[in-house]
Amino acid sequence: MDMSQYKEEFVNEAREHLDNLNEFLLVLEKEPQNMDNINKIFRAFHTLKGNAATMGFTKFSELAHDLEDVLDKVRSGEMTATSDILDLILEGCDVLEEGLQAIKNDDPENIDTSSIIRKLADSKGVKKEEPVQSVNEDASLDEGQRNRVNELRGQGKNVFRIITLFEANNVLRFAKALLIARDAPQFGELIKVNPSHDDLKAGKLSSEFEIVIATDSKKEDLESWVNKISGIKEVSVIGIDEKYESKHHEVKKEEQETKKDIEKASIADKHQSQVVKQIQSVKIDIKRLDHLMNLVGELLISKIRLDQIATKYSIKELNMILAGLDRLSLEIQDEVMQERMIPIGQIFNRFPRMVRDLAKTENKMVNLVVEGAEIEFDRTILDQLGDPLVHLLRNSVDHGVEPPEEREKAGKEKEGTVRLVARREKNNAVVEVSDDGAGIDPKRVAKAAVKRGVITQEEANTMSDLDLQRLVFRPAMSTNEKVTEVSGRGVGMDVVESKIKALGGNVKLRSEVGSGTTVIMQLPLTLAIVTVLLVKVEEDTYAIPLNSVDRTIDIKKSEIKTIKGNEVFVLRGTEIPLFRIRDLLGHNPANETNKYTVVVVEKDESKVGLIIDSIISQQQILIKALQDMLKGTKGMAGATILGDGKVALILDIGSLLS
Amino acid sequence: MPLRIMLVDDSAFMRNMLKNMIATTGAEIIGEAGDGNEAISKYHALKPDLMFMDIMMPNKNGIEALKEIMAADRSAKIVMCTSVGQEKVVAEAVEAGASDFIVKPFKPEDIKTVISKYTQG
Repeated sequence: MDMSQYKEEFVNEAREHLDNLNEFLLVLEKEPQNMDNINKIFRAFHTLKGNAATMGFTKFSELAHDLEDVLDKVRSGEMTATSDILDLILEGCDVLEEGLQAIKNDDPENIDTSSIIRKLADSKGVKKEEPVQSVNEDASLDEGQRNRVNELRGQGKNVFRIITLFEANNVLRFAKALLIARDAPQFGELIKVNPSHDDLKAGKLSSEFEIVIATDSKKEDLESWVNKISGIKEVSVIGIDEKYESKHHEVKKEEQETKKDIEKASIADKHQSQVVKQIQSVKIDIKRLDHLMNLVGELLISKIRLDQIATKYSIKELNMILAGLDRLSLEIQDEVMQERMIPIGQIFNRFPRMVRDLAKTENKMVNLVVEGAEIEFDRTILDQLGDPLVHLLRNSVDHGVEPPEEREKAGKEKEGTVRLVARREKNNAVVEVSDDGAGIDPKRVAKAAVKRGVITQEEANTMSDLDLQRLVFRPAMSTNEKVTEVSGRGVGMDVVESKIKALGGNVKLRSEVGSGTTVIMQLPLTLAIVTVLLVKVEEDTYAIPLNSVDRTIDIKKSEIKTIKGNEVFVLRGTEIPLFRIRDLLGHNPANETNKYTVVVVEKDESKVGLIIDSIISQQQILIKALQDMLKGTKGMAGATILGDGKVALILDIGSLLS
Repeated sequence: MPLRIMLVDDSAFMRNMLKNMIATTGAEIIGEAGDGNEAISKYHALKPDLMFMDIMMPNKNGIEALKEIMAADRSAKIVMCTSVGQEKVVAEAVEAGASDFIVKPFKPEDIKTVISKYTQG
């Protein structure tokens, strides 16, 4: 049988089990008595073992078996889940992980399990293989049994000796023997069972099982009854007369015959009308969902064009249809988006293990709290979110949480807490990584930044604490290890920010010296379709993602002030820097007027005003990525096709103003 | 008429494997379940001729499900799917009324043999 067709499914399921295991094992560390959890771990190894064996992945299956064994001992209380044992199990999981990779690469036996298997064996002590007890060779009846046989025969019963031969490699032969012993009384009185019931229960049986039964049934009936059980090599039903009471018996191979089972036929007939077909789920390649998403986008564009025609020619009937089409396309869009959504828990799963390992190497005590694992994201976003989260969590453990002694001195719990939280916020999702560690000291960052030449001393003097802390997002602050050690943070923070921004999100930082740091990432729930504000600049249309728009406001020319050569205006007591988008994008300067339309956008953690020509509308658009040549153009996040067929560029506020 | 079979295993991989093996025997899969609770309710809804049931499952394991089904329907034919190392529970399954046992990893022949034993004619 060709197994390769099942490989992908095996891999997917194994992946899931290994992810779950990481989580369960960490629970085991915290709650070694949690039976429910121990059982979950046991079951996961058990399933991995069985699935791998079915696929013929011997090494993978063997290792899973040994791990299952250890868990069985933990479960029965024979072994305690000490930290060493736990490390061993985790190591085992890592090797399984490698094994899974090898399987993916079509080289399933290319893993080295020998070392871990040896270690596991050592931890269990010498494993005793129970010798298989052979059947009591004495097949004769004792005196009491012989008397009973004679008595029953006197009552006209047939007495048979039924000898069942099992395939020697059938590990469940004892169970099949138990089945025979269990059902025999249906046919008559059971006089002898050899090996005994108790021995059978203990799994003691060689390849032969014998019963003696007094019955009204015929030999053929007994044969077909025993033959119903699978895994039996041959059955001999021998009538006992004087001759057979002697020590010897002969096993004759009888023809196996399956009898028509009338009872079963009637059951089948009875339920024929009840055949219910099950609805099953289907798996869809993500590429097909992407394509579907694109088609939905095109549909939206066509719909908007129809809208425009209907408005232009005021066609009433068309408006009715359009209202319906509107609802339908929204529903389709919703549906497709839903199908692309995956709970963030899928990537959260691997972090508890990572944090534990990191904390262990750093000799720190860290408790990771995960919340909101059920929040769903578009899978494209999730794919991109893993790396930033790794960076942030590593920072929290490495640089945030202090060593236990230091924490104690500061009057904190010895164990630091790192929180990984996902939650919905309006149309966005927020993912937050926070710690209750030392926090980012703005003075130290300033010192390091000046030393690095990132800012001048004068600039440092005028910057707010938050601005100083935000310097950790500058690439130059991350490149030098020494600086990061001084500043306490900065490893890959620029990478984090650029990744999140590329997803159309933004990163906020809240840090207080002595009480900890929180990094807040605001993310769109989906990438493909966004709501934007369409604005007119000269003859062109630009799209500003609505999630970065704070408000739009008209201001008079007199409201614009100039501070140090930069234009600002005051909004509710706060000076907002103003930028003329025509200048930023290289358009012709506009004629001076008395009134300006300003779009106030959020940049980093402050507000900035963009002077545009006019606002067109708010609209949902489908983002089309810029092709290679335009990719990375400063200030542009992508493009979209408008209802009238024109192309509009989508502005990336962050890079436009930096 | 084909034998109507129900599969119970928490591993979708295992169910698919079995499904494909059974498909070659001409028997019909009429239902699947992922744990003991689902097995019980689907058994009563579908009344399969034969059920293949895994032992180790979340929520309600195969032994408990077997006991409950047998208590309600003594004619139920349930083949338990076991692995090496489950000797203790196997004896329990015998007492609970299991019809037969197959051992993982299954070979297509194992499945064929079991099914042929329950197919009439």
